[in-house]
Amino acid sequence: MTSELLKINNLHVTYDTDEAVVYAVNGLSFTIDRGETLGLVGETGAGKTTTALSILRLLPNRIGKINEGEILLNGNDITKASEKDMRAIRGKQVSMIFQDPMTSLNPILTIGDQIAEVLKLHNPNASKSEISERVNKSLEMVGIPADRKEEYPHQFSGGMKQRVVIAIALACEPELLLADEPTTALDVTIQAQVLELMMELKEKLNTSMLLITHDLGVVARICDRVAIMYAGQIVEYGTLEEIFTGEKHHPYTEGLFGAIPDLKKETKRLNPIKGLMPDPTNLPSGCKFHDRCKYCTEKCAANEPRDIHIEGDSHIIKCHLFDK
Amino acid sequence: MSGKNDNKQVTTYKKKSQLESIWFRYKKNRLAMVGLFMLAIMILLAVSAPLFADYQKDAVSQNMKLRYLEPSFVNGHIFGTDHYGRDVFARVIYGGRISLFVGLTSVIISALAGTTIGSVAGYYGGRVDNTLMRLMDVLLAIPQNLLAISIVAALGPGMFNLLIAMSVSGIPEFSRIVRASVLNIKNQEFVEAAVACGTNDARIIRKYIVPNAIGPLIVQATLAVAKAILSISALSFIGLGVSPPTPEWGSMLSEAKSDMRLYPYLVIIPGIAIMLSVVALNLIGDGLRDSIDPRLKN
Amino acid sequence: MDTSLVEVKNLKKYFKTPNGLLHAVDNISFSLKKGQTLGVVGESGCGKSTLGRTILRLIEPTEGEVLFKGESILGYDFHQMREIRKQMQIIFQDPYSSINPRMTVSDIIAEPVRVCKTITGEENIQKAVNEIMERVGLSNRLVNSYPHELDGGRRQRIGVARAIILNPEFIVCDEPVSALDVSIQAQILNLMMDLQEENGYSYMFITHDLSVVKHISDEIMVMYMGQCVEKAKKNDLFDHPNHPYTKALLDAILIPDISEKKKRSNLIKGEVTSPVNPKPGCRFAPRCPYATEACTAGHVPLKEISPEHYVACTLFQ
Repeated sequence: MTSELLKINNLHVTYDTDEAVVYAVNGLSFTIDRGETLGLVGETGAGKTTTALSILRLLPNRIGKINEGEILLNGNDITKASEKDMRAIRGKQVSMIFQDPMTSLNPILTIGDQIAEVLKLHNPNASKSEISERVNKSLEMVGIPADRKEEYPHQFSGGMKQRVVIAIALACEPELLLADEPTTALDVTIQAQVLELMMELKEKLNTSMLLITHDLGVVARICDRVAIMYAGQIVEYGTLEEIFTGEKHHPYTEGLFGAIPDLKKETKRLNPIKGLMPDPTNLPSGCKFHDRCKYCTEKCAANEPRDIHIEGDSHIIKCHLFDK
Repeated sequence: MSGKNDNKQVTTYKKKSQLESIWFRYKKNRLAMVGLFMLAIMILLAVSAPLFADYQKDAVSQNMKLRYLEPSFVNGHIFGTDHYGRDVFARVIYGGRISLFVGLTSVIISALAGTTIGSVAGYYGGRVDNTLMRLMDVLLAIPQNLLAISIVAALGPGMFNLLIAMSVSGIPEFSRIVRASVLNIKNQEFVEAAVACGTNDARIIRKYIVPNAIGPLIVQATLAVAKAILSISALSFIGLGVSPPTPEWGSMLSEAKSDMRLYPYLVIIPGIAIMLSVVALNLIGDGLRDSIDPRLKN
Repeated sequence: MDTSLVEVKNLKKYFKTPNGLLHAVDNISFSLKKGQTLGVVGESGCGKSTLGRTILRLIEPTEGEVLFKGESILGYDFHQMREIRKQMQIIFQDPYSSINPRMTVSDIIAEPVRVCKTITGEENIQKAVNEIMERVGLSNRLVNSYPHELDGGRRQRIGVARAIILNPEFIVCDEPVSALDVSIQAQILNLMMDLQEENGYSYMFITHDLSVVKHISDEIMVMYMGQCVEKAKKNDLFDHPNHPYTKALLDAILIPDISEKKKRSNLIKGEVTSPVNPKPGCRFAPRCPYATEACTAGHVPLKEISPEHYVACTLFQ
């Protein structure tokens, strides 16, 4: 059994809407090893959520299409899997946590029932008492007293709801957890609690995680490796050290770090990245970042840059600047 | 300076006004376009009726020699003639005028009155809301057709009274729908923003609330026209609508009741006319609902 | 001479709910000078948004005083308020719901001028709108566009333009960048600071993001469940946080820096509850590691423990 749990090769995903074709993911590749947490960082419209939905084949029915590429889960290409196979995978091998805990839970079922549901789906032969035991265990694992399992979602606060969502996602002890901005909607102090919980559970269950976020602070806390995403592509990829401390960076990464107000230093003005995210129905030619890049050259507007390995295998930057 | 950085943006924004976006989505819906097409034809026929037949000669005056002619392309009466020798085709297209005119106009009046009542009730709340909506409840407690019947019975038959009856009985439902929209809209931040500039209530209702409540209103209005046409036919059927010899689909049905067995076409043809108009309006209403719905939220 | 532009004294806003009286804003006082920014920080339910709206009388206060240039605005009628509103404006958080989807960009920005009639004549109004659009970085070709065609960043610029077209002196900024992407946040923050420098605006900047508040404020007030727990000059607050809640907030921040993997054992537990029929005293006591009986015995007032640094905590009484 290799250490590679998930491997995505050259993924291309589009949304074919009434008005235009949206090029959401344009040649995405990355790997997640067992027990590893990969942070997928980018702003709105970069294609991060689309990537996660593609893994679980949850793209909107007639509109979302995987046009090219493979998604290998334990060596098997799941883009070719049948819907029946995917149902067996969802919740059991791969689980997902969505961004908004307020709307992720079914308001008319008790939280105990919602956890039990995923357990029953993947353990059809388990007895009622077995399921009940496991529900209690799940709740305790996320710090909710088991006697609250008869309560309804509206009786819980935002942070508690997110804990329930995590309990549901981890109930069957999946190998891979896709977490889409799991703490963005939460207060700062609650965010801290939930992240600590996720780190604990990750250790305990040796779950791999794809953490989607725009918050570099969260990434610094919890991730092992980082992929920076822009306009449907990964523009920089590396370990936590390489991304946060290295000298060489993709100009977009540089821009992202520069745009954040620094708690340590006093700055008069921030350094925003000029311009806006490109329209995914009408992406720029050449390097998709070229019109916002302060280092842009003629080559950048004409040719797409390739993935350059910086000093060894793990740090990759997609930029002409590093192409010597 | 962060001022002019977005002028170099490569993409251009498609300047679609909301009306254009709605029409664009509507066009893609085949059934909705069919409905629109059907309604357009019917309105065209009704409006240009004099081109096809003379009102007095064909639709109204009796001609006992030409009674009960079967529909045919050769004898000059494509829908045949009825028990008084009147051309059915002429009666159908002139009858359409009544159904469509009263249907459309009564809905416009109900919608205007209902919108005013609903937006005032929804915006001010409290006692104003209570009073107005309880008044509406009184009207709603009576089934719409019965209400129309009682008004016509009180005022007497005739197109104008029919119009009044249909208009009044349609008001409560519109006021309900608009009030619900208003309650939703008035809590949005852009209304707060208007208050923060010192905008007065009248302007807020006029420019901020009503334009945003139009969506569900238009869908409801289209479906209400269909309902109105059915009601008008029903009222005329029982003799409370327009009085003979004015042609109207419902009264045509009524007059042909006894001839159903021998001359079914006298019943089928006006029945189809009613059905087609109702179907057309329903298709349009559904199509509008789908295209006004902001599915494509950015 | 103390020339405060806005002075708030013991402001309270209570809401009647089926469960009891909700103390959304409880006894808040501050004073803001011309050209200065007061940052108001806190998590959900602390009352910071309600505070901003109450000061502008978008919500009517229950008790207390709001003085603008020395005059109390609480007694003003509709027309007097309209006059004052020219000088006190607000920028909202959500760029999607704070602008009317049925009006064009130009109409939205021109609206305050049309309502207050500060400029007359269609041509003059259009000219003013174009100028303001340029100033906030909106291309003139967008004049007839509708909000749904634009992204969050541009929409927020519309909100800013609308707030400044009357040339106000005081602007309440209710989480104006929270709903925006990082790079757009930076653009809008720079814009707001530039405008402040050029025009001398005073801001009340409400946010939950501590790094943003540090960047933009001169003075910062920390709120918890309707109460002010600490108030100090910006650097003073960050260098010497005194109230346990302030410390907990600062500890919880995640900075994009991997050099300090700090021990996280000192995170506070528990959650914020709603301030309905609250018990007397400090509302942070149930979660505070240093709480004593004195904390909930009675009202804990704000005390100045060092020049211009106020804390409401029994540890410092």
